[in-house]
Amino acid sequence: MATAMYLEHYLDSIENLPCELQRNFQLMRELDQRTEDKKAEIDVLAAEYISTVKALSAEQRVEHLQKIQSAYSKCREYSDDKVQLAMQTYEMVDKHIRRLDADLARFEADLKDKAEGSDFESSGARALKKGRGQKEKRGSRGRGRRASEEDTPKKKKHKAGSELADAILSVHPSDVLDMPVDPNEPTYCLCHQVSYGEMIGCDNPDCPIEWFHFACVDLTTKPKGKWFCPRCVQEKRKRK
Amino acid sequence: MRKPRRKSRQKAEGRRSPSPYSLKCSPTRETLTYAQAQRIVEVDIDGRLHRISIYDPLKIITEDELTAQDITECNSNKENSEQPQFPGKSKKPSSKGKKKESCSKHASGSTFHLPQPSFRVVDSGSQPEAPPLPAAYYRYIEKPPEDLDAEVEYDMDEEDLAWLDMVNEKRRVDGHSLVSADTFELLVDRLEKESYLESRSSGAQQSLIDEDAFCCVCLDDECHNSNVILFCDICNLAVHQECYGVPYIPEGQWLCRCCLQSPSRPVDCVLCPNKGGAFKQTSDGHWAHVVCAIWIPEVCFANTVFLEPIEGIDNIPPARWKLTCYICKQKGLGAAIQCHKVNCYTAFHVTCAQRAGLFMKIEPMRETSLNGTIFTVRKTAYCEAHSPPGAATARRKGDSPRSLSEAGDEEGLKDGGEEEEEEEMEEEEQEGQGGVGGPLKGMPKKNKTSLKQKIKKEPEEAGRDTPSTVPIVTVPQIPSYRLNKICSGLSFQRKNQFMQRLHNYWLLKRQARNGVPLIRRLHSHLQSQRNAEQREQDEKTSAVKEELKYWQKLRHDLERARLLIELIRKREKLKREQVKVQQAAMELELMPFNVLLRTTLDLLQEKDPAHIFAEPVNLSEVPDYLEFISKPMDFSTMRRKLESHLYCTLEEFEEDFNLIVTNCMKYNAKDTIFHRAAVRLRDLGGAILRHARRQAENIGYDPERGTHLPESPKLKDFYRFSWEDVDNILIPENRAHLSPEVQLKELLEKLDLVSAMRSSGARRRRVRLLRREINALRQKLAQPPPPQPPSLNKTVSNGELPAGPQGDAAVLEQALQEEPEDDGDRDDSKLPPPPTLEPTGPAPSLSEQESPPDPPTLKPINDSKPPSRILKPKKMEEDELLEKSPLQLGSEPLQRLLNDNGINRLSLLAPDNPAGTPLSGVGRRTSVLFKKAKNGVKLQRSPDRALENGEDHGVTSPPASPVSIEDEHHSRKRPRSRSCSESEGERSPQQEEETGVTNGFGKHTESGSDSECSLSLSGGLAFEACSGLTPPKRSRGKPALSRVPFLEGVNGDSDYNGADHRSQDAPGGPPSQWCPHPCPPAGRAETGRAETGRGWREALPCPLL
Repeated sequence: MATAMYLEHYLDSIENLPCELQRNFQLMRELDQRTEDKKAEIDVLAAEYISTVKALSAEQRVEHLQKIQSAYSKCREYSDDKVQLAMQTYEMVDKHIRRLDADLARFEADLKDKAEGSDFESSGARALKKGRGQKEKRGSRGRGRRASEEDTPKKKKHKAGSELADAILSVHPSDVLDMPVDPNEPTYCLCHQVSYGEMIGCDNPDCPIEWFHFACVDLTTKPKGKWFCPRCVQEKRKRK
Repeated sequence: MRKPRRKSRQKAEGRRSPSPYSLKCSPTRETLTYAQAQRIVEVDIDGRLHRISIYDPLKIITEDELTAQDITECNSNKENSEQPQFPGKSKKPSSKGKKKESCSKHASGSTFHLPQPSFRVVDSGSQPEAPPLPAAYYRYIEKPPEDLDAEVEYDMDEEDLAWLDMVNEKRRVDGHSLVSADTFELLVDRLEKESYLESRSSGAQQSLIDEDAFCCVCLDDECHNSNVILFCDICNLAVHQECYGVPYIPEGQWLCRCCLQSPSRPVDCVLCPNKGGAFKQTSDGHWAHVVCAIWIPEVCFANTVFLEPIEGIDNIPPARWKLTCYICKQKGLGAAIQCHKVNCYTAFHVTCAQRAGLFMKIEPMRETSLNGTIFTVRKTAYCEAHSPPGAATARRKGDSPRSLSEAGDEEGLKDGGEEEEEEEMEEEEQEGQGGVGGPLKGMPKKNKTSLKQKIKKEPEEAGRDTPSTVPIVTVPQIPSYRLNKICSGLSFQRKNQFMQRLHNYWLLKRQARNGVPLIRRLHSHLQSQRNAEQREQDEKTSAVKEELKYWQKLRHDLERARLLIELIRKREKLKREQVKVQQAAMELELMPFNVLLRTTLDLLQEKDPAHIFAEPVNLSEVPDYLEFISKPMDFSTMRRKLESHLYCTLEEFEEDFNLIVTNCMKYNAKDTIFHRAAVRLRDLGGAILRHARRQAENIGYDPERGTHLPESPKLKDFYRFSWEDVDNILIPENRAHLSPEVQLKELLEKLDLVSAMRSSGARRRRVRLLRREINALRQKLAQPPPPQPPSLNKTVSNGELPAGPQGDAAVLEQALQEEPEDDGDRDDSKLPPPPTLEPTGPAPSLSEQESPPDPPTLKPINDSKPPSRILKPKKMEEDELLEKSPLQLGSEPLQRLLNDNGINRLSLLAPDNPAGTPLSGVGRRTSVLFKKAKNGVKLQRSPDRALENGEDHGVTSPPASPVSIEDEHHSRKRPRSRSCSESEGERSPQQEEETGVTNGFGKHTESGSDSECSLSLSGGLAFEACSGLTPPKRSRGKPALSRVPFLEGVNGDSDYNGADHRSQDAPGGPPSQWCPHPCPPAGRAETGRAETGRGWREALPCPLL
């Protein structure tokens, strides 16, 4: 199908995603292993230190502790690497998802055009109209983070679409809803719920929560400039 | 779809002459309208009810005929036109023949014989036993079409039976085996299905349901569930159920009367010249438009439900026939109606008006008359000229029926030929059969020929008469190879011949049924077939949908992947945190002591916001630093030592801290920011250190290893606390048994405790009391240490808890400060002076009259703002300075020594005495003195300088007397010390006065606050300068200094007093540097004293005045 050319391209591009993912995870695993090794080493060192402290001179003590310290710093290094790796992986998948979304939007638009070109009203399409009600819901469920940018234009497009396109497109919202809720889905916000609707990220890079529902932080629109979550604001104040 | 049986009957009706009124004379009563009922006579004959229209001619019949008549009437009541001669519906072949006969008779129009019932008794009448019902319900499951295709769905009807009989007869004659009914059914079934497939594959013509269709009777396109628009399956006529009298929608095919009864011949309306539209038969066998019948007043329907037949045409007055339609301009053709507008005589045919779109409206009316309520309709039709506005729209609609009917006509034309062909084929077949003889025996040859003629004639007619209503009948042709395939599974003789015949028969039969499939399911399928195209589209969309679904699935998978990765990211972040925490924990485990020290150090360094002590002193900037400071120390060095585990105990750590402070104080002049910072640091650091010590004790460290003790020490619940404890300890007697050090410690702890409480009136008061006590104690304790001036500070600090001797001094300071507050004359000290304390403050001070010596010392202080450089610290170490300084200075060290000794003695004496009162008294006194000094100073600083000096001497001299025991020098300074510790008669009275004065003054002169600081400083310095070593003096001086930090928001820990102490000592070293004027410190000090003294003196008079 000619319409799916870009989709074919997409398939090509996504082909090696699994490999990349695997490689990254492999790396992470290795790092993890090394960290664990270091930790074991540290334990040994610590035990040794404790048993011999009495006999050690100050310099020796320092030396010994230094060893432990350096082992720890290695651990942290590994940890940082892992976090970095995870973020990188996330970005990678996210990039693919965004591209797919864009392609899908294009695909849907094409379908719509075609549907308008050949004016047929199929009873089938009419029957499928029922599925439409669910669509609005989908918008709200949406993608957590990028929701704000992505979802709204999409929804508009739906509304403008012809009946057939509607009928076809109406299939996927239900699909989205049908998708079983992953019990492990990461939770965010003060409320510890999964992401939905519009979310805002705390600008504190060390924020333990990171993402917040608009409603939970009393926001309706995206604030200008930096935004910090209530917790981080408190912390900041304390530090001051 | 009608049952085939009925079909045939209808056909028969169509052919018979149109005069069967006798069959319709007794409609059921319920179907009659009132008007009709009026025209009907009910007759009850022999218990049977007969309804006879009054218009009907009553035949006179003989008795013999009576019974037969009854039967017909019964039948007609049932609307069953089936001839009664087949009551048993027997399937005997003979009946077929009879039927045909009767049909032909009807057709010929001959008077018909009433059929005689014939029956026979069946011998074996035993009814088969019904099989027992199964326990479970039967459930009908419709088989899928695929299965059905394989089955034989066709059921023979009588016609088929007859035909098969004929054929079989012939075959029998020919000596061939007979064809069973099952085979026949199977074959027909296959033919049907084949044709169905054929029509489907050829994409049979699509008669789309015209959404815009409108009823050609009422010209309305509204469509309700109870009144839908029906389409004739042949001519595509569109009528409402109600408009055409079709109460029930028949299943399957529906044909209009015209197509049903006169399919081959176009019908003309007797009431108008127009063709096409919805026709009904009149009672006399003609045809008329339903609309015409509705609109022409004289005409009505015999049955208002079925709207047939049309009656009353005879009643139409001749005048109506003669009207000229103004639309079609034709005269004498049909009956016209006139415009309902009064005085308008315009006439028009109903159908013409409809087509012209004239205003024609039928409204239901409800008329109430004497007879009751009658529902009637009012019909109004206007000519073009009188159409009410808005009626024009109807015109557009009016046009379409014509075009529609015309289209139908054309179609009919086209198909005429085709039908002819087929009918000929039938004839051929019949001929062939006839040739064989058998089955057609019953049919007279004459008939056959006449039929032939008739058939032949028809095409001619069709050719001639342009309008032929014969519709298209499409029977899909089945190619011969298909036929072969159909019968391939069967084996009987002369199969091909039979197949040929069967095919023809089937074709005819289909033809007769207007091309409707013989199997019902297929018929409905045929209709659904219209959706074939849609289905195609559906397939297309579903394909697209599939594709979309695929992508969405992909999207889902990606989304899940993203979620998982997000989780991984979070996990890794947590792991990182974990490593950090682990590291911290490990540190705590391995070197908890260091951690404690580090935090303490951090806290300490926090108190040094200007980072004065952060780094080692830069020797290039201060080249002579090492001359004064033997052991430089700073925070960074401490940290280095800490990290290299050089501190094994808290004491070592504390020592270094103290070193920092003392070094600074030693080197820097008192009024420098450095000095002040050091003082401040000492104050604040003391508290921190004490806290750290407490913590260390609670936690329990192993000094050798820097780790926790294996067992944590018993936790002293330090913070458990009650006011009673505090109050108890506040009473001197209660702690009399303790050594002063212990007492002090106790008091300090309590102070820490109390100050840690939430602020409240009780707390504040107790803090004050505690401080006072502590002050007193310290003063007392401070006396012994002074003996070794140089090492004083260090030894003090090291030797005892942070609160040590230094602390004592600090306490004193605090006490001093507090008291001032109490008195309220101290400047705006932030602590509001609680009036309650005032009495207590002064009272003790009065009791001990040591204060008098102080005032003199104060005097020099005044001058000594600069003198701060004089700094007692030099005392021992810096002889240079001392040398520079005049006699006094030079003597000072000695004096100090002496003083110290004296003090020691004094202090020693004091402790010996019942501890409480005197101690406290000292503290108070000193404070009081201080105040006085301040006041005095404020008032008269400069003027008194000269006096001061003098006074100084004077002052010194008086003390000298008591001190005389020792050196002159001693004596000089002793006075102070004495004055502090001992009560000197001379001054005591003065002091008393002073105190009183000061109190008064304090209240009056609050403005002096600013100067106070300096004064106090100078005062303090002066004290020390003079009596440097004497603790009491120091204490007095210190308070002044300490005030500054105090006011700056220090918590008021007793420590700072101690710190002040040091600071005063320390700065002593570098004074030369700091003071540009190398004026002898001692002198200044003296002058200061003198001033203060004056001030004091002068202050005295004021209150007195």
